[in-house]
Amino acid sequence: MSRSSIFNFETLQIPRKGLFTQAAKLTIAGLLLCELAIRLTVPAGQIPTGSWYNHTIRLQNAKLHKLEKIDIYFIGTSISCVNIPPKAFDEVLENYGIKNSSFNAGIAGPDFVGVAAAMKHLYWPQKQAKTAVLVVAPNDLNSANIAVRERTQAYAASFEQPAFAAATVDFLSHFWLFGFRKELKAWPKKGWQFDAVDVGSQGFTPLPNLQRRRWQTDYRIEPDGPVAAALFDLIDWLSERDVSLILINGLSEPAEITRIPQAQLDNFEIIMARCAAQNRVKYVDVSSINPVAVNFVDQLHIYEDAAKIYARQLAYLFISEGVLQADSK
Amino acid sequence: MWFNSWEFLYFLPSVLLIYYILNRQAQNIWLLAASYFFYGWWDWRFLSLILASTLVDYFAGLFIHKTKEAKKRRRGLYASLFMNLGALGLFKYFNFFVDSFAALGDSFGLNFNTPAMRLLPPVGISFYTFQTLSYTIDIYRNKQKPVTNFINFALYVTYFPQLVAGPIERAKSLLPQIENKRIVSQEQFQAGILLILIGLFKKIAIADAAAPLVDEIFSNPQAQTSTILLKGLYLFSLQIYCDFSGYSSIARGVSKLIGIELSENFQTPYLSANITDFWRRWHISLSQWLRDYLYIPLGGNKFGTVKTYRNLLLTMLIGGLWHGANWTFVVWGGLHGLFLAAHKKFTEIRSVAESVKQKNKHPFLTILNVFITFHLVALAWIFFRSPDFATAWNYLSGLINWHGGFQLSYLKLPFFLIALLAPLEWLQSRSFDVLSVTRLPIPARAFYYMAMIIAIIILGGNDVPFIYFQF
Repeated sequence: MSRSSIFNFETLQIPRKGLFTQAAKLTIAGLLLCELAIRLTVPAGQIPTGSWYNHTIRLQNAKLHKLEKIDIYFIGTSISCVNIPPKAFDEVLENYGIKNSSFNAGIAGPDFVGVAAAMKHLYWPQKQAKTAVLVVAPNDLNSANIAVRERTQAYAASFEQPAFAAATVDFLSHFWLFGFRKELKAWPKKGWQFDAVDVGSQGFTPLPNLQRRRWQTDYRIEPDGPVAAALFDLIDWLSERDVSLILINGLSEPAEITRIPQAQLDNFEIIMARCAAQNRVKYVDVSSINPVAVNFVDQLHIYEDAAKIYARQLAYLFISEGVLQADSK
Repeated sequence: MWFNSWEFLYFLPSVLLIYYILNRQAQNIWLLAASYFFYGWWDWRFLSLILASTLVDYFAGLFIHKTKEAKKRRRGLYASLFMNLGALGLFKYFNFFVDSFAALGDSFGLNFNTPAMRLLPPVGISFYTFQTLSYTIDIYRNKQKPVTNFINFALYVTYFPQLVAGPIERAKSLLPQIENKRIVSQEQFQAGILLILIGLFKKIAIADAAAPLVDEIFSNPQAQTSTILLKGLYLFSLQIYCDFSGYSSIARGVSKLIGIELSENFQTPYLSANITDFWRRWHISLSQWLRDYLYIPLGGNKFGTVKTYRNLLLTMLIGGLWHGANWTFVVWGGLHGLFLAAHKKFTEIRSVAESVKQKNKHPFLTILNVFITFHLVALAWIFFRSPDFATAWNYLSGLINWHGGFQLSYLKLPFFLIALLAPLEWLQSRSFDVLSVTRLPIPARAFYYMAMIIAIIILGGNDVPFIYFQF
């Protein structure tokens, strides 16, 4: 090499043999032992993905990955994925000669800002559908619940990570010590948290805990707020992709509806009306098939058996209203 | 680009891989490009300010050195001061002073039409401003020769491992390392990796674990019992220390991989037995800067007791304001100034009473002194952490008017985090070297490394920015 070369290889002076000290070798051996112990301990069927998305979304995503194609997406929060089992819905359509494969992309935890982020960044890039059913309840548009708002921010931010960061997490997740770090963190306090939610076929996620739970939240539904904006934006985004949209009211226990202040309910109706006025959106009134109070596990979710009946009734209703035939045959 | 971000995980190896195969001058150009990239990652517009500051100080340094006439030399220095302090004042303190002026007017019933100019302060502006100021001041004092190579000087100003949160390096320590050939030995490389590991451990396993609870408690102190307020205080004391010393450790580690030694910024400060000792061990590079460029020029302790106390107080008030444009920081600095003055007085009295000095050697008294010093520092942190005086006052009064009983179980998390940190601090306190962990027997060392790596993996993922980056 000439003297004027900009290259010089003398800066790093580490003998090859000296790269790993005894302590470093022992550390690596110890980490490998931990990895082995985790692999031997963790029950089968879990997906290590390094707490990038919450576990339910990971499992939903894995289910979606296995499906060949999707005709209909159900989009919403847990009010969608807990209350509408797509398999029961598809069975009814099949009886009517409509071969259909639907997937419930409802995600538990966030409001519609998180729902929109998950659809745009996770589900849609994998599988596209011609039809989507938007399931929207007052609770999904409520911005008064600070915990839900914060959780949503975290969800949305995790979906919007740059590709290289997501790829790094996916790569590192091959090491289960990293891939199950969220579960490992919770383990000393709560025991092994293997997917408290049983994600069934096609994204359906029945609630695992069948005891009635109550909680109190204030309601603030803002037609011009960020949550409603995310819903409008999602509708525009899907419309640009030529998706036919069916808009329905998500379930809420009758007593919960009476608890919502009238002004907030009016705001909810304003938002629904704005959505329904969009070109590619067809609003379907599902109030006639709403389950009675006894079917509710809590204020927003119904039991698995009730959910199957509800999904079937929803399919019958769609057929009788003629909203599916054109696109899904 | 945070040190604990995915971006940095790719950035650092990419920089090092190319760096190791270049000759010295090409290395400096490469490091300068990497530093601008690192800084521009936040906002490329910030680059214009740092470039302007670099240019002014480079030429000011040359001018001051070349000029013999005292008046002209002073003008050169003023140009540098005007540029650096002007930018700092404009970007960081303009709104603060305008708002304070307006608030003062309001209290007298005067309504001023204050200009509305909301500028985003560039990341780390306080750090690099102090670093470049020390360069021109040292040249003015004939303690430093100016750099003739612009690339080397620009690298001194923007060197990425310490650009945004220090340590604030003096020209006499950093510049020779930039100008001379560098070699990264096996020991240096291993020490660098270990420092990065220790830094990440402190940041992710301790500081970030404390952060959510601290945020919650400080957001509404009125709603908390006194035990929870105490918990918040301990947690924040841990958070700020581990966050900042973790950053400094990573900065030193990264720099070691480059072959440049940065100064130690922390020496187990919470084990200090008095407040003067604390400031010798906490944010050492800032303390020394304030001593050399503020306290001593003000007169130091040469002009009598009253002026000494005044100088101490002034230095600490300005040191407080340096941290952020808020009166709460000023009060924090003022409190430390008072503590320092009180300790100075106490030391004077004690030196007369020799018997007391003898008693102080008892280990129990040392522990008591450490305990008292830590709690004084922790109390002052309330003003540092609170967004406003109302919050700080609510917090303090919640602690003073003790209510809600005392639940030891509430303090589990602080104690657990202290237990995580204790072995590191203990080892460091014995040799004043954070790398003293390497002197443990091999199995113990391996176990400690493994524990740190597992803690980083499992507890990571919160992506909490470093607190001092905002300064």
